[in-house]
Amino acid sequence: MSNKKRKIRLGRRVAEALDLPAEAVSGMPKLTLQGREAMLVENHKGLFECGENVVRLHTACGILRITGEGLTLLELSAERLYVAGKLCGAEYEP
Amino acid sequence: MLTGIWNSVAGYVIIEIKGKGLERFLNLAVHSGIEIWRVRRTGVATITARVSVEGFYALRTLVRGQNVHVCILEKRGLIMRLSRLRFRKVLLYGWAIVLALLVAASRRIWFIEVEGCDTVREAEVLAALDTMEVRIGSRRNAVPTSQLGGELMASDPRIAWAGARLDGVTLRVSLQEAEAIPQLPSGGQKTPVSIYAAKDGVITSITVYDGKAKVHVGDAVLAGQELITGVLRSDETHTLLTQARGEVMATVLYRFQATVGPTITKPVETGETRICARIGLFGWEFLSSGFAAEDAWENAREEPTFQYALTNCFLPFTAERIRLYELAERETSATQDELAQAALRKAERVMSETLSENARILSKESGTVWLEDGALQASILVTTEENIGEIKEIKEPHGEQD
Repeated sequence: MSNKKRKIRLGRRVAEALDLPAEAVSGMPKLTLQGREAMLVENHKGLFECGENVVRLHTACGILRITGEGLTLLELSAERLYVAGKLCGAEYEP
Repeated sequence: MLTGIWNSVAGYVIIEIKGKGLERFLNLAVHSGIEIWRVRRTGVATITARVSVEGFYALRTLVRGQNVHVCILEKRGLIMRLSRLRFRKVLLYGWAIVLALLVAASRRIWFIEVEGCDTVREAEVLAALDTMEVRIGSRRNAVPTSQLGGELMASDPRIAWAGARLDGVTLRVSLQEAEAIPQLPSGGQKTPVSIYAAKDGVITSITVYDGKAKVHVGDAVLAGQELITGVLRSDETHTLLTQARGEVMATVLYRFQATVGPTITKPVETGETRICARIGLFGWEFLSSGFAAEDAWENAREEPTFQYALTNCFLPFTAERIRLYELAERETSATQDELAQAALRKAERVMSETLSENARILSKESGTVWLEDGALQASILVTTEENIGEIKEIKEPHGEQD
């Protein structure tokens, strides 16, 4: 087993033992959807594409694609992104 | 929400970013710690966003070396609005002066309201306040409202109670006037007196200030009857006398009669007539006899023969042609109604001359009767309530009857 994978598994076990939030330790993206109008994405790694109908983000799990109409980035920071508009879907690109 | 409020106060700018690699530029800005929000794609190579003032200055350094162009679309925020005023110094100084004047003015009294004035006039109260250095323009903290009431009471014996309070820039003074001390009937006598009835009547109320009441409410008394006696005690050893004081109210019945007829004196036409013209302009009237400037008869009956009025315009004008019939006072026969009216008028005149000013009329009935000689007699029956007490010296002391 590679050292990196070993560290990841060890980190998960420590997080589970201490009841820490998993995304805080592993760096996985966390999506919070509010109805169909807003979505909060935490732990992203950068903006890949910003359009009116699609927003693509770099994440630890791959490129996250958010589709919809009239999308606006209400908040944009190094780790958080708050997108609003008429959301249609969110998926990871293969 | 707090962030939005802070941004509105501190100010922010709406920028437009044009070029290629907009997302890369945004990532660079975000990782540099620049706060950007409301990012929206508005064109193929155009993005609008909002950034704080400090963030915009930081963005300008990032633009160098990047293939993008940043321009300001709009500036928003309280700071932005106020910054536009930095070239309007007179306006700013004016605001500052007005604010200073408002603050200074709010520390003084500008209105004085007095409540409860009846006998005591408001001007007298204001004059009394003026002697206490309290007037319009006085400083609020220099007015001792807690002591003002006592000083007002001491300044005027007619004031039973006074209070003052400050309501903003208004000083409200409340007064309660003292009840007037009833004036006791007194002729300046030093000898003992009693109160006797001046008229017949039925007692409705007795108020005794000094002496002893001899009658009660509801008693029928005759003129001359003793109502309040000044003899307090009388026995074999000595007699105690005083000056009786009091008020005795009673209902008194009056009957007034007057006879007129069979002839009365009234204005009668003499047969002389005259044609006159009257012109009215702006409410003034000018009367002329024909076209000559002669005075018309003072007592004359008028009969208009022609009238013209022009009032629905700027110049109100009336003109009329009248026939005057001369009248003269003569003794002549009269109709039944005229005799009745004359008799009642005469009786009313007698009534008004006889009744005292303090008498309160409770009821009044009138009627007429034909006499044998053709005259008409009018009668008025009046019931009044009045003070029937009359002060007289005690004729001789006597023992108590009760």
